Amino acid sequence: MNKDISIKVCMGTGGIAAGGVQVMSSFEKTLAAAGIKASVEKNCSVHKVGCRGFCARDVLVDVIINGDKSTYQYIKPDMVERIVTEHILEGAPVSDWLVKDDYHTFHDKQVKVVLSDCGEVDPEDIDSYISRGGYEATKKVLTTMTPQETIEVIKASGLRGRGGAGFPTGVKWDMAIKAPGPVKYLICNADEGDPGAFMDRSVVEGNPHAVIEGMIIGAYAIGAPYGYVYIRAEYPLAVDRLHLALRQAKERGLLGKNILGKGFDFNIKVKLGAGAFVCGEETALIASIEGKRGQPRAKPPFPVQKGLWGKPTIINNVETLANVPYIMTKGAAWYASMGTEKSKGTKVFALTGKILNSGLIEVPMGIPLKEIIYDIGGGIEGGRRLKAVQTGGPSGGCIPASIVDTPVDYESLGKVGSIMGSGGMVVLDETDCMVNVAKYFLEFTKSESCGKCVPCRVGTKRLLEILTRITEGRGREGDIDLLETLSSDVKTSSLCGLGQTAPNPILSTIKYYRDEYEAHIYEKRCPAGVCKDLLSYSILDEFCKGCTACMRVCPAGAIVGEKKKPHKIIQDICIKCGACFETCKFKAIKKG
Amino acid sequence: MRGRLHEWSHDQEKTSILHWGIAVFSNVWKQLKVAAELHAAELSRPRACQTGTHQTHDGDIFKTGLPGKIRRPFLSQEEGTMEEKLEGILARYQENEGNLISILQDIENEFGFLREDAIYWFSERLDVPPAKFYGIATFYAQFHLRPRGKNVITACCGTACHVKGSERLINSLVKELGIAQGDDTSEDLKFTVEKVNCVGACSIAPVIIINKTVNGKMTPDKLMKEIKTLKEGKREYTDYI
Repeated sequence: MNKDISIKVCMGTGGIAAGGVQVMSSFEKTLAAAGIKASVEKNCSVHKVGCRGFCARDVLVDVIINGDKSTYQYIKPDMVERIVTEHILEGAPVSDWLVKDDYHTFHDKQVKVVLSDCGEVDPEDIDSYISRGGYEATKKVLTTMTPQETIEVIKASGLRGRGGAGFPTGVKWDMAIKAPGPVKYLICNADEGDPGAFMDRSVVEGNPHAVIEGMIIGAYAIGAPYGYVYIRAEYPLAVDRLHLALRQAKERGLLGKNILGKGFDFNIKVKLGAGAFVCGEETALIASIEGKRGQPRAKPPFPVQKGLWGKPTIINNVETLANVPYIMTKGAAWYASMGTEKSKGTKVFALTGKILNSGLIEVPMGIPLKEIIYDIGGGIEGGRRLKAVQTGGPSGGCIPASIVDTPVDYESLGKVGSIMGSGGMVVLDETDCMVNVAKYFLEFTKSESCGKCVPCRVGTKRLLEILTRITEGRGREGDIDLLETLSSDVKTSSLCGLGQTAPNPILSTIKYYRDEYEAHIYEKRCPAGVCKDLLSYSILDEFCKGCTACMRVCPAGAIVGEKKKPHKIIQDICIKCGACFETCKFKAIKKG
Repeated sequence: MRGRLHEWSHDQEKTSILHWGIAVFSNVWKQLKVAAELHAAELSRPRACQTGTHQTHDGDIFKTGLPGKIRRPFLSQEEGTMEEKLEGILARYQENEGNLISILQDIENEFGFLREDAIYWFSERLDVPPAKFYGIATFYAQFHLRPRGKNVITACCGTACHVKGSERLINSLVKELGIAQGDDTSEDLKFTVEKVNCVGACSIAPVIIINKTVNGKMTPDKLMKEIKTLKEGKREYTDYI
């Protein structure tokens, strides 16, 4: 047999949760048993690859025979044998399990830069990255370019910080190279705390070497001999792969002393975050690396003047750094050709919530939100209607369905009252209550407020109290105005970004969904049917068949009745969990 | 020799524990020289060792951290093994970079929560007041001051999981495991239910992590089945897979 066989199994956190490890070992066993391994020897390989974005379809498996790629979805270990016999031995792909058209439409409108190698390279093997042109950029920069030239390329590319605020990366680096002193630090911020965002995790899990390469180039440009990766401890797989990648890079002489013989020293250490959202803020992150409580401090001095251990420090987001090697090899003009006038390049988004195709996507800046939701995302789950898209996590806002053609870039999102943020995009449908969503985010910011400044510590607490009483049916007249006034106070007087942006979810939902707030306050009604205290469940006698299904699932024992006779809900005991509503097959439970 | 932390700082500022420690140490030495005789009696007197309760830390740091005169902290019966474990953690940071957060992370890894006696032990060895440890421990969500259950079930409460019904999962968990209101651990210390902001697996929301195993697209039914297997000891969840 003269074949070149390569099998790639998706093994990000999503892939592993779906059983990726078992699928991979099953492939290895079956291939060995079928004698394929022996006959084609080195040309047969089974690889683990990082997330390719479409985690909802895991486990995804690529079978590549002589360069001909077929992708399978929802693969379980017991399906492997048939794939091996029919596809690899007999040459006929198992068409039932192949990805369908929607897999391709999911990918068609995407432009992959940062994610271009995710799902292709083996994240635990440096050679796999090098074989796809990895570390070429490092060689090019270190051997042919001066630090200042490197910075000029990044400036010309128009790359802006992907962590949220969108500060031009080249300008930041320029400030760092001009900062005095031989000791500077480059920190990679992988403390992805935004709920609903996971691009940093996927990039570190899927292609850690791109991040390391970006750091090497950045450190060379600003003259930093030391680097840190501050990564969440909640991402154990990413941490393990990062450690492994660092070790491999060190063995190859890409980290350490005298890199590539050019007299440039650079070392990277990993610091585990201990679970505090505020540590995404630069000065808080620095405090945390120094081993203190992660509380931000007033700026100036900015970290680039006085940062870690009092030295000039640059903090870049994972995605920002992962862009750097690609810009260096393909050129600033190529990168700047994508995107809009002020927002260049591409952006990775975590598309989640009530969307059909949830996953990780990378699109050129300026793409209309509509195309992301309907073309890439495939529309709303269960055929329901789109209500809003929440971007930017707890610091962002909701974009209503009415302006869903808004282009996605830093400026346009800011104009409609939201932010780009780190790239979380949570799709909400008509069954989501906007007051409840605002309350959810305030619960988050309230508990994550570090407590250093009063406007944020007390302000978020009071805002949450008002929202809570509205959702519990105790809303008062004037509450909406009170929310608005207090929100603008917290925004203007908080010390750091957390407090300054915490009221955004409230302000944007009031702006677009004032009627929902009013329904809660004046009519004591939750139009979406989410807020428990404004709900009641009852059984419609004419539909109830007395099947006892609801009675069995009721956790409170609030449903009574005899078999084959209509049941009843005892309102005093009912905890309004909705379990009966979902269980009933005859639509006999009324919510309202 | 007393424990010394090596910090990766490159200046003489007293920002790191190392420098801070050295500064305190030399200060201590000076003070001690002046009043050596006076303190000699005090130092040679064996200190009361209490188990469980705590002697107030008087903040008088010159009494501690001296070679050979380390005040024995409040160790329990398993003193030997515990002491070895703590020495192990300390030794790691004499060779490598570290700080209070990394020490606390190691204690948490070793014992499952931040044992009070372990914190006091480090406080003694490093000349760092316990309040400093507790200040950090209570700031970060990762640290726990009370023992946790043998099985830790983590419910993701990120935005995606929230809109897909994580709250219902938590309610059913708490009810099934009989965890008292306001608590997170069952009385028999078998189960702990905790919430986490986001585990970054939003596309398979809602997510429940059982020990280390990530379970996506959870429903109350599926979850109850998992809990059952866990209770019966049919499956160990110890790794990512």
